[in-house]
Amino acid sequence: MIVKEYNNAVREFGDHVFRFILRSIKDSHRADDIVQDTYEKLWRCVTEIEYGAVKSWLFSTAYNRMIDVIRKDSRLVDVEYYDDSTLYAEENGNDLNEVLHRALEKLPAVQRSVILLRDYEGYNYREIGEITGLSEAQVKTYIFRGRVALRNYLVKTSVWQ
Amino acid sequence: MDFPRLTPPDDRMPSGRRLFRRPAELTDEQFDLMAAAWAEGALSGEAVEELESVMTASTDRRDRAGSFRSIRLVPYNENWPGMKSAVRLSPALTAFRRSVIPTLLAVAAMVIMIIYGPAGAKLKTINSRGAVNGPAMTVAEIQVYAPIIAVERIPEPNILPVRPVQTPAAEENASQGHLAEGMEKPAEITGLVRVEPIALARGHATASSVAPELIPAIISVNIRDIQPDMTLQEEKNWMFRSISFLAGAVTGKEKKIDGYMIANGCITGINNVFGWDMELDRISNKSGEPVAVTFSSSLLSFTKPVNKTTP
Repeated sequence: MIVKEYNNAVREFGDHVFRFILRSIKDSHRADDIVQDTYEKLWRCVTEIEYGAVKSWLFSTAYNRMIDVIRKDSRLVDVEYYDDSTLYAEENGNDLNEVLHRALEKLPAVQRSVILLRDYEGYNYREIGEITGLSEAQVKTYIFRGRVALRNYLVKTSVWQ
Repeated sequence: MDFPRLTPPDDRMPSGRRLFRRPAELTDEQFDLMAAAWAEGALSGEAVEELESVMTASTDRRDRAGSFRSIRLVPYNENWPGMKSAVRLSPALTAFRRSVIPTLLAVAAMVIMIIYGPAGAKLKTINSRGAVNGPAMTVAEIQVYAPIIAVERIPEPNILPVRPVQTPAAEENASQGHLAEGMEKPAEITGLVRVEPIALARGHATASSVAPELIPAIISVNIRDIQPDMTLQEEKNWMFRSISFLAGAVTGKEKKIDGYMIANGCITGINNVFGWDMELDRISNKSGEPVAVTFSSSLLSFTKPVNKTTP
């Protein structure tokens, strides 16, 4: 990859990676730092990465960096045994997309990430598995369970009757 | 010998018929997972048929499955604030920005300072008048045909008598008794010229480096008039102020620039360019005032006392 392609990667995918990290950790400053670190890492090995693979590389690197940050902050919720007692709250908003994003914040980190990669970026299960380091079956399971949790949130918060 | 065996009771062994699950037996949780997969388009053929049969049998479940199709997140237009800082310039452009542009700016600043400083004003005066007028100053120029200390001993009879020549400044120094160490009064020399008084008085040599012998070869001392530069000190001050200003602008600190600093910078630069190993050290007294400067290299080393009138 040459400098021009690197700059294209910054302009073309920077917002996407930032959006994904921001929705995953809900902290704009940390998200900015993670994306900056990701592009700094890309710049250090810019000659070793093909431009065609740079998008998934960016998402994968940013995701791993985000997991490290979450683990450092000890805010990682156990995927299998998370407490969903705080999942449902009174919901007054009418915009479905806004309510869905608020519901997304209450999901476990891994479910949240795979759903974001699926809905925001349109990755298939295999690509999501490569980014997150999960198997295809795990990705499917997390996505389906996440969808059910989102639907239940909408129903129980009276957004859907 | 028969050993007792553990055999499961019949009710713990499901029959083959009970292993198959009928669509109507799907729990809500199982149905939701299947519906979510169906909405994603991830169900295989038999599973789709099973789910469709359930949806056909129940209107509620058909609506429930349909609701999963609308659960899709749409991204907001959130822009990455640090994008501009992540964009990189090409190496050539980076080198151009880091080296050529500051150099050009520095040169432009120096040119402007020279043009609008005292030197520029002097140039304007020269251009308008053709010459700079000012009172004449008399100096002595000693023509040296050989190094001063390289003198052969010549027998007394071969020394030609010459008339001693004294500059006005030397006469004044002599009259005030300001002669350097080892000097003799020129008036006491009859018929011979010693090189020490003139050379020492004019600052061309030190007492230790001048041979005490009589030098018949140095007999011609020319007096010539040169035009003094009335703004020389002013120009020096201006240049030092300019350099100090530029240094302050670059480093962001007020820094006093003196001749030693400039000379040391030049020597460091020459060492870097040519790979030499020259050193210039400043010797200070207890109160921190510089008293001497020492220069050392592989070819030459000397120590020179600091002239306090030097800026």
